[in-house]
Amino acid sequence: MSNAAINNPLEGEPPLPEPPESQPQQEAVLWKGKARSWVRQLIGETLSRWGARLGAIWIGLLAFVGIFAPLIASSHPYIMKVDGEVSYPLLRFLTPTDITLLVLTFTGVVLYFIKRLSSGKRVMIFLAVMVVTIPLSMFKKTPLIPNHRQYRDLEQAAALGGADAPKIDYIIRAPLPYSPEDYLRDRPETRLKPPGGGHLLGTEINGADILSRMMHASRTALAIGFVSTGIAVVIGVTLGGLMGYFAKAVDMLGMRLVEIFEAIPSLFLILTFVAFFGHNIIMIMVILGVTSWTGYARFIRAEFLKLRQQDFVVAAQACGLRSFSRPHSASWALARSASRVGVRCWNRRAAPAENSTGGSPCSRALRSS
Amino acid sequence: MATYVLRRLILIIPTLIGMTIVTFTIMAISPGGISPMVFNDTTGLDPKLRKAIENYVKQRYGLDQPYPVQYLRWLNNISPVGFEVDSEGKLGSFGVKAPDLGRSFMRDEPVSALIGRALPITLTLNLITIPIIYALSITLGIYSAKHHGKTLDVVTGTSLIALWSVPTIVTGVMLVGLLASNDYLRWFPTNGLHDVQSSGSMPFFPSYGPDGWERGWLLDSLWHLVLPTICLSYTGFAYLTKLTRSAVLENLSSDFVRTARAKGVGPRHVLFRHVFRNSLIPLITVAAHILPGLLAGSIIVEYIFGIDGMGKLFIEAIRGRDREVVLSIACIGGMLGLLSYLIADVGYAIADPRVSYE
Repeated sequence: MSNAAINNPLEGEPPLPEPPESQPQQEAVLWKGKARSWVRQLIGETLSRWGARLGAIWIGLLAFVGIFAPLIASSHPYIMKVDGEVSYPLLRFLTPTDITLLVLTFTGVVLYFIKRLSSGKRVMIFLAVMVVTIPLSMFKKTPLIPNHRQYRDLEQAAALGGADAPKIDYIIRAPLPYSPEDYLRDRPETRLKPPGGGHLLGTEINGADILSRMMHASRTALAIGFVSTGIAVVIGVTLGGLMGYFAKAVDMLGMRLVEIFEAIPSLFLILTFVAFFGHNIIMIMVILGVTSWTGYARFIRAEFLKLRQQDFVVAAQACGLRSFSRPHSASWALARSASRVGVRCWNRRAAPAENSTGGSPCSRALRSS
Repeated sequence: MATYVLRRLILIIPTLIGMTIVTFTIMAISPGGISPMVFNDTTGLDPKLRKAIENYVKQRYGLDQPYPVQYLRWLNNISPVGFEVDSEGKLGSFGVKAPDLGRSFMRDEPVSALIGRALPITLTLNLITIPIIYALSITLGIYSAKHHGKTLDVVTGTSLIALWSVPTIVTGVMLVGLLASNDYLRWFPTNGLHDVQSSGSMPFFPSYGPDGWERGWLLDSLWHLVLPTICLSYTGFAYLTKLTRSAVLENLSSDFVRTARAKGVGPRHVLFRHVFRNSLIPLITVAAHILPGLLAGSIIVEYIFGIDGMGKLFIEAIRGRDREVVLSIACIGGMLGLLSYLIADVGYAIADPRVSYE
């Protein structure tokens, strides 16, 4: 007899999903006659609020701009035909990161619309594409010092005319024909100019287009946010779960670790690592993640300790399930409290303006279940 | 309760040691050793002389010894219980002594003197800012929960989030540029906390003297504090207001509030005695962080307004790898942080009788 069956009558819980981590779809509920997975329901509930929707749209816009930045804002033309010779400068100047991002986005969008495959298969295909693309894209060679002004010089020479002027048949440029590192060396008069004259947000002190720089920077901004928060959540949930599950000595030691990490000046850590590894953006993401997990760990630990005190755990222990019931309820609790954290983080992140009735309807439903 | 508090107090010691070991290790492994700034005025010297000076400095601060010895020495200096150390670095008798924070490499001054100069400034700023933030956000939180869903709630919620999302660095520069700059309004001074020209001779209160109207020390300080206070406080409202609001809302819909209303308890009494008292738990968690927060200076604001507070002291020490200063500030900050957690945990038990540590 499984422990779930023993736990259930004691607590009056709904049937537990047997291994809860591997089959989250079992928690599907009927909704408007159509079964929706729990994750989908969660997203739906969150996005039903306008604040959350605005936030999601904004993040989506940032992600779009970040992924397609080299196609939207670049000094290199998509395609040009000069003196009868067709060339694709933009392709030549795409970096391995650009290629990986574009390929993965394409795969993701295509997979999203193939409804026939199960979601597990789709994730597997996506991962496979990722594993193949990343090493392959490394073979792409990009010219080290790009000459941004050559195309403008070409056009100028063609416009001037003359005996040896180049003949431009066509030249198709990106919508924003300025790369972020294009300091417009051929136009020194455009430095530090207010918006206007092709520069929608003006130019900075070196002459580069600000809008173009912002578009390319949104990629870094999003990457830092996602990667460092991801690292922090993974470490925090793992350590917090361990602390809450084992309690006693592990909890005590773990809490000391949390306190130590809270007191380390992370600024100093970053400065030290920058001195070691140079200005490496990945290093900064990792450090931000490694120094900011303590909040998540505290939260998960508290959730676990609360669950330990609940009637069904106590009752199961009273039934003599001392050694067995704990691991089970803990694994169940891990799934549940992690999802609860998901709800909270999502609420807090996507819609800080919205927390009117103490959590979303979904988390309320969870609490009452 | 007393045993619990005592146990937690004892646990602070190993945590502090762990904390300082980690900080010390990071400083020890950071490339470049102690600051090159210490040797700034030796650049033109003969390499041999330079080496001699370097050796002298290293010996003077005990940097020629292995790292564990250096750490233990520092630990012995800072702990109130330990060996007496005489001027030549010899260990004396064991016993209770005054903690010594050490000397700054960079400025050749005792760390306690440096902190003693920076701390009052930071404390002044924080003691003005924190009460403003708390009073305003808790009031706003309670009222927006009471009128939840109405215009007041939506307007305060949205505008506070909007304020929260403007970076301090932008606001600071804009305020200085527009309100304090010589080119524009000149309503406020651009930097510092006091008028540099007339320091010392200024009367405390505003007065009318032979030279005409004089501001006086008090008014002058307040005048200098306006812009830094705005910068420090405006981002703090959103979080605390949200927290109060959601806690109050959760309790407003609970059974005991309905019961109280049914008994005929007045609405104000329900709100402040029944609801607010029960909403204190999340506020206690935040309030406990006031203690370490009092000490922490805002680096950005201090740099923009040229205030020599704790933030500036810390960042300059980090830049110059001034080990004693960094370790002291990290240690004091960490200790206050640990104490604040303890105070929060005791506060839970006081605010909510259901919480017990027996």
